[in-house]
Amino acid sequence: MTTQTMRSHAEFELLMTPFETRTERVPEQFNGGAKTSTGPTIAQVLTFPVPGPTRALPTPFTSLSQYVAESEQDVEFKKALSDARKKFALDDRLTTLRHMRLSKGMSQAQLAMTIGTSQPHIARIEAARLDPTYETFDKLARAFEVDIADVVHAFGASKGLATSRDAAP
Amino acid sequence: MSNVLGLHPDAISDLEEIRRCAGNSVAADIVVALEELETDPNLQANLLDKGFGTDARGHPTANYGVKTWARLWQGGRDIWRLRCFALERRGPNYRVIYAYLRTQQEFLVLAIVPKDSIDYDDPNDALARRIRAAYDAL
Repeated sequence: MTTQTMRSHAEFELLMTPFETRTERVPEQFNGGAKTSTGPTIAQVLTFPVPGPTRALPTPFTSLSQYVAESEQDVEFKKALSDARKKFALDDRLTTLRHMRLSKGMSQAQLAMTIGTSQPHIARIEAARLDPTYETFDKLARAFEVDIADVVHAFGASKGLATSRDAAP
Repeated sequence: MSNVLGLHPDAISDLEEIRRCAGNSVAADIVVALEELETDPNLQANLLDKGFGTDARGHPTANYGVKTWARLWQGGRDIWRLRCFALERRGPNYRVIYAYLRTQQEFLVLAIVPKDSIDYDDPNDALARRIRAAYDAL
């Protein structure tokens, strides 16, 4: 059994926020075999971001994210980082989700904080290893200040890129 | 799932030196290049692909170029060199020297240095000695 210590109320709330919600038919064996007169049992399935055990870097190493967080205390360097991300967006040939995020000068961690999820969740969406729900698309559209259709289109581009990568020899 | 990127105190000092000498903009470019590597599992998969990012003539075929540090690699040290072609196209020409800790599956950045500041073939090069010492202390 893994024990997870929450460091703040906000962290607890984030943990209790589902990544994705979807509706699924519940197999009869999970419903005690009961049949209802209104048809098959439908359940809402919630997927929660359960953090894995934190792996410590060897001494004396610092994680890059910690270095970035500390460096961003310097307002000028924070702006330089934001500008650098915007420059990286210019290197993208396709309007992917990564491109949209970088165009706003945001890191994955900043975007995650903005839409109330975790950085690994954003990483999975950008890598098209997860299909976001409508709610997630909507939150991303608000964060990027674009129409939700643009975000869905960008996710399609991300997915196309991932598919072509997987198909590459 | 991506692996966390670790920075050695010497690599952090290198970044601070770049901020002082070349400015915040150049240092931020390098940090963001690393940030994107850390958070993109597709990019990160290339970090152990010897020769990734260049064709047979050494011309860039991707935004990043990956090589082993041949002399140290042959001596049993899992040390790699990274170029960021996207940055080079804009001016900054640095090399990121990193180790891969196979038991922990962690990428550990040992140095971030200007291209010409290091002689990879000279065992007595001061930077090479610093990097080797950092690796050997792992």
